[in-house]
Parts: sequence; structure tokens; C-alpha cells
Amino acid sequence: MSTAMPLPPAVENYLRKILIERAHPLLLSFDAGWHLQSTQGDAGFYAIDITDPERGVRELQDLFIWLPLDSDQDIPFVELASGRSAHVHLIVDDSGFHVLLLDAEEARTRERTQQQLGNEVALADHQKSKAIGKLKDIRSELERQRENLEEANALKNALIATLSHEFRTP
Amino acid sequence: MTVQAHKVCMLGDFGVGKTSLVARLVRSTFSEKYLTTIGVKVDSKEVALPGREPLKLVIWDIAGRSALDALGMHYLRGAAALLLVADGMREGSLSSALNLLMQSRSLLPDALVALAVNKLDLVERWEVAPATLAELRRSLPVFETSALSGDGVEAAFADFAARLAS
Ligand SMILES: Nc1nc2c(ncn2[C@@H]2O[C@H](COP(=O)(O)OP(=O)(O)O)[C@@H](O)[C@H]2O)c(=O)[nH]1
Ligand SMILES: [Mg+2]
Repeated sequence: MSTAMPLPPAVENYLRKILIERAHPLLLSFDAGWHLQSTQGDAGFYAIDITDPERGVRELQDLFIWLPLDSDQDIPFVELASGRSAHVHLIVDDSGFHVLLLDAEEARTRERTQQQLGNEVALADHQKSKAIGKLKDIRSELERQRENLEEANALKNALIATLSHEFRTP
Repeated sequence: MTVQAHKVCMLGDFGVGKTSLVARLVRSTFSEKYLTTIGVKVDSKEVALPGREPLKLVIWDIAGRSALDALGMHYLRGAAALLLVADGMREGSLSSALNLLMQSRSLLPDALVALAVNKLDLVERWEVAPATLAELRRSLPVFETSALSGDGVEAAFADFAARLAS
């Protein structure tokens, strides 16, 4: 099977539809000076306030500071102010550029469930080995005290034995 | 006039408190709960400087690892400053932070660097010895911080702001 073979139009339309539905694309088009020209898609889905350029757009603009704006850029898995995760792309065009957001929430949740447990186990292991170290210290301290005690007991017993011996022999 | 913005990246092993330090600085909050950061969260904070224009730090809180992968390097591009973060209670996290610094040096040879040794509120349980910190202080600014109490947090970022402004 060749991958270059064009798909039947019905399949292609179907694919496009489900992929777009899944990706929730939001397209923001800017002129070269970061002035918003047009938007397409659901800004509400990402809870980006595009009516307030001071906040919503600034958040996106901050992502690209100090990056060259003359070539396409992508920043995967960006946690937006709303808490949602998105892949953020910057696509250069003749009159400026577009910022394209694609939903990454599902992929992020999957990544997180995988990593969270591993990280927690590693942190707990560290705690545990420290606790074990401390336990060892405590144990050797107890051991030392027990030995001292035994020594003292032996001494005491010897003393009592001697004393009782003394008392028995007038 | 728009304020000058500079990109600052948080760099350190997972669980050392990078996300918590940013939350303390930007939102004055702290949470006991550990939620692994996936990807990156970008926040910003305007820092006032005595006798100067304020300056904006755009802070990238990057998912913590002991080594940088391709994605980690990708996130670092354009950073003007790196805040290395270690957990005072985990000596190993200090080596991770220094290792991350070495790795990032090829990409960002001129970035400003400082080290935050975090969880100062639990200093009685620290593994990192004062002598180690004294030694490190000879080569880079070291801050002892607590995201829980807020101690040292503003100082660490203010130091970057002051150095970036001059
Ligand atoms: N006691 C104490 N706990 C902290 C401090 N900073 C972070 N933590 C805790 O350490 C864990 C990891 O913090 P987090 O910020 O998620 O670490 P990150 O993986 O480096 O982003 C969380 O449970 C935090 O509550 C601190 O200064 N003191
Ligand atoms: Mg984090």
C-alpha cells in the first residue's frame, strides 16, 4: 500500500472532520506588530480573552519573546493561564504571522498519569532510604545502650554476688 | 512605553519546588500537593527596580528532569537567565542542577545563572552541607529559599532583575 495514494474524498473529509474536532484549533492572525487582525475557532475553549489584548494576547506574545519571528516556531505542551494545555505554533505569513493553538489536554493528562507515579515513587524512595538510615542509627544507639546496660547489670550482679558472699561469711 | 521583558527559565530535578517558587513569586500561594509539571507553564512578574524603569520577567517553569532532552533544550531557547533549583534535603538534586547547567551552556553561553537551594523551612533536615554552599558561592550567586514561607524567593528574582537591567 502506498501512502502517497490519494484517499477517497469521503474518507479524507471524514478524517479532516474528526481531526479538527479533536484538535480544537484556534487561529489568531497578527500583523508584524502583534496587532490582532482576525481569529478563527473557539477562543472560549482555551479561555483566552482575546477581547482584552493586554491579557489574552500578551500571554501568547510572552511565549515568543527573544525567538526569531521570521521562521515557524512551535512550543509543545504549554499550560495556559486557564490551566488548559495546548501546543502553540507560530506560522509566518507575508503580512505578519498566525498563532495556532491545538488542544493538548488529553495527551498531557496521559503523560501526567505516567510520570506522576514514577516521580512520587522516586521521592518516597529517597525519604525511605533516609528513614532507613536514621533507623540504623537509632538501632546502633539502642544496641550501644543495651550493651552498656548489660555491662552495668553484670557489674551490679557481680557486686550483689560479692556482697551476699561477704554477708554469708561472717 | 512597554516594559523590557526577559525570559527566565527554572531548571532543576522534579520535586525540588520550581513550580512552587513561581507560584510564591507570582501569586503568593503555596500548595503541599505535588502535581508533576508536564511541558511548560509561562508566567510573568514585573519587578520594580530602585531608580530605574521596572522590568518584566517572563518565567518558564519547565518540567523537571535530571537531564535535558531535546524538548527541554527547545524550551530554553532565548532565555536570558537560568534559575537552577535544588532541594536542600536531597543532595542528589544539587548535582542534577549543576548537570543541567553544564548541558544548557552550549545553547545559552551568556545566560545569567543563580542557584536556589529550596525548602529552607526544613533546614534541620537538609543534606546539603553549609560548606558545600560556601564553596558554590565562590562561582555563582546562591539563594536559600522556601516556597512555603516565601523566604529568599523575591531576593533570588530581584537579583536577576538587577543584573538584567545593568
Ligand atoms: N516544605 C516545603 N515544601 C516545598 C517547598 N517547595 C516545594 N515544596 C513541596 O515539594 C513538592 C514539589 O514541589 P513542586 O513545586 O511541584 O516541584 P517541581 O517539580 O520542581 O515543580 C510539593 O509537594 C511542594 O509542596 C518548600 O519551600 N518547603
Ligand atoms: Mg513543576
